[in-house]
Amino acid sequence: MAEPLEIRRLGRVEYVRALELQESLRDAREREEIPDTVLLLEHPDVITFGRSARPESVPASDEDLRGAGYEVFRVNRGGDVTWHGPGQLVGYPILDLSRRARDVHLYLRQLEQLLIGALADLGVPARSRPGYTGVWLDERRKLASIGVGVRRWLTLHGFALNVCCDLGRFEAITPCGLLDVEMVSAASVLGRPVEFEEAIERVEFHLRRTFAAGT
Amino acid sequence: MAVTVTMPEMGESVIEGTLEHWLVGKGEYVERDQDLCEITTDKVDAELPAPVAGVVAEILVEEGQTVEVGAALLVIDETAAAPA
Repeated sequence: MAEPLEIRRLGRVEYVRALELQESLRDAREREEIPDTVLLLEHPDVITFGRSARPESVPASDEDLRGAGYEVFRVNRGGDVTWHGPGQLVGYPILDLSRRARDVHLYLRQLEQLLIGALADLGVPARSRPGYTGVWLDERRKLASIGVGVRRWLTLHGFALNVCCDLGRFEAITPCGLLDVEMVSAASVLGRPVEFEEAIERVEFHLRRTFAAGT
Repeated sequence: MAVTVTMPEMGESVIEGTLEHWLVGKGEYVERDQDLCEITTDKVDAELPAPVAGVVAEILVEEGQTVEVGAALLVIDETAAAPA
């Protein structure tokens, strides 16, 4: 079933503002005032804890993290801890899955596949790892994280793709609570600069192919 | 009438979920659509809204427990009056 899809490019947005926007859009989507919508944006330096975050994933206290220039939030998405910041492309799809396949795990797989497609366009050979939601270069190196929230088939949160971010900013945490996982970016894998705008173009293309063509 | 709320269906490929947190307690009055609990499965966090208003008569699953889709989670007594 073909559903209209609106993609909004927002540039850099504070974490809290983006969360409020997602929630108001979800309400509007539920009232059928807007079509399925995807927000594409970047956050300033922030560390967020998902509902299943374990304390050992972050050795530092909130105070220490704030001292190191991170904002810190605990949010209603699945998954453990993660970092967002400049050079990382964040996508928040607000979709009504009841009009699509009504399957939250299928939705996770679709997010993985569209990011893999976008990375392939950029020249990065990425893949999924069964049992480890996200997009990977190999068993150990991760390019994108995924964590979503669902209420009555309406989605919140989404994905974070490392395009050209400062990977040192991940060092304060154990991303997703997985030891021995190294975060990499499209730029670090390719060993050359990657235009953020180009990454947005490719992700937007694959978002439309996946969700605007109907599933 | 007492209404039993079950682990919601979240897709063909999702057979179970973990009850992460209760947001309501036994004896508490809940409005229709109020979030009852948080359920997680893989990287998905789902909130379960109340299908009816009433008083929580029974809580049947403990936090941290993983149960199959369709399993009874709690019972809401619809006939119980809203607090004045």
